[in-house]
Amino acid sequence: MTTYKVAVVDYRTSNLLSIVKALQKVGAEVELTQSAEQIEKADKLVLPGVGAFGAAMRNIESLGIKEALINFGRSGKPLIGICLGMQLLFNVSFEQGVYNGLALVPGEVVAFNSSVKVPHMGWNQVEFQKKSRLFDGLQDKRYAYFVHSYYVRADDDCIAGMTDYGVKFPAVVEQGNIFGIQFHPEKSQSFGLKILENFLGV
Amino acid sequence: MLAKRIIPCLDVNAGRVVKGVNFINLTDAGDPVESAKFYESEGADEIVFLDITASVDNRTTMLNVVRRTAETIFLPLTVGGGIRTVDDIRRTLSNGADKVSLNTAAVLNPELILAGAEEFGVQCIVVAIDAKKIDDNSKNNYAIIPVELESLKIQNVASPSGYEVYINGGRKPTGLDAIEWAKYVVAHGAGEILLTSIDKDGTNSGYDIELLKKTTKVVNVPVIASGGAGTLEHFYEAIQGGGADAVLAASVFHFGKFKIKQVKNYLSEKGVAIRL
Repeated sequence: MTTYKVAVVDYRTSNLLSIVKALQKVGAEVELTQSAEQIEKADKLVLPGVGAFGAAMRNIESLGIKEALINFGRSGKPLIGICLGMQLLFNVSFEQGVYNGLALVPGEVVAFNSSVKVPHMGWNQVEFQKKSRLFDGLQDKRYAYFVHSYYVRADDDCIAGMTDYGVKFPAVVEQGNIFGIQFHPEKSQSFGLKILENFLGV
Repeated sequence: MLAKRIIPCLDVNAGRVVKGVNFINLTDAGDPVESAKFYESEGADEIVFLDITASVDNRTTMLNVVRRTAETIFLPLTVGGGIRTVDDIRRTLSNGADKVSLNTAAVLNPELILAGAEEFGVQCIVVAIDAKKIDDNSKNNYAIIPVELESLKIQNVASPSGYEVYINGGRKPTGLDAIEWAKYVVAHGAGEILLTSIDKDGTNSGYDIELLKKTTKVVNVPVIASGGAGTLEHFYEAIQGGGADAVLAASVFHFGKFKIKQVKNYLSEKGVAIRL
């Protein structure tokens, strides 16, 4: 198995054990990073995250890594945001207030309406919208594990996969070498592991 | 469409599975990690560990089990049993659990639910409710309930549900109305309810559909049905009749009565959204 080096941003909001193990399982050599310098030097970057959008952005700012993340995204090197990490890639979130994100991909983060149970928790299907490098070797409409109360509204041209939960929302986005996935690949069994493996191969 | 989840539950005592998974191809049926791995390969959608260890000293043993499991399987993992403080929640999550399940501690210290939800998010706070149909037997061993739950006591509820909450592993009555308690925990930060029927648990006679219906009708979070699975139809009834979002079972899986795949195929043929 080829070894790929990947840096995982540790900005103190989430437990990184599972994502690190999943990346290692598919052949990554993982480095945890908390500094702007390390982020700039990374070849590939994973931005994980659970919790609240506002708190996450505050942590990113207090660690002084916001600019580094934005620069990394603009550099063309592969970046993937996972769950809350995906939402952070967008302009703005309306989660318990109004918070600016990294604005690497145009779009906003909004709440599910009250006609569905929130959080959206469990296994749901990812419907391919266009060819994505993350989908190599995967079938359409496979199940992935989701846990989230907010979702992204984005332009069609960056949406690679959609999921239906009362509303159809982007489960996978891709813009250049910036990727975002709303579900948890580290909890989505073989489907999730393959997505991570595909990211490493970008 | 969101799939209904099939969840095997493993009771763990001092780091070993109680009523171990009864399959010859496991090298160590008493090892929770091996069992979880087996269920992952069988198509489980999630794994629940219930720590039934009596002694506090063995908590670190459980945390080791959680960590080793989280390092091995790539499925959501819920851990319950003996979690009493925000620090307990933190330790459990930081060892790789995705959710914690609170039961007795939620009743005796309801602030724990919200404190946990505020710190870690509602998505990782499951409240487990052990409910029992109210019978005529007079009881005298009621748990002492915090004053803020007084209004949830059966005699203070306008239209009682007929179900009472029990704690301490289903042994101690609380006097709380189960459905009112369910509404309360959701309003105070529970992201999911694990609803066990004490009457049905261990009987293999089917889930308590009435209890499920009453609960799923009034809460806007996922409800996991637990207690009573004995046939394939029982799983279907819990989902279709009871409105459950997930079904949990222990013995029918452990003793090999059904394979998880079999349950999933059955439900899928019945038109239930299932991850196959």
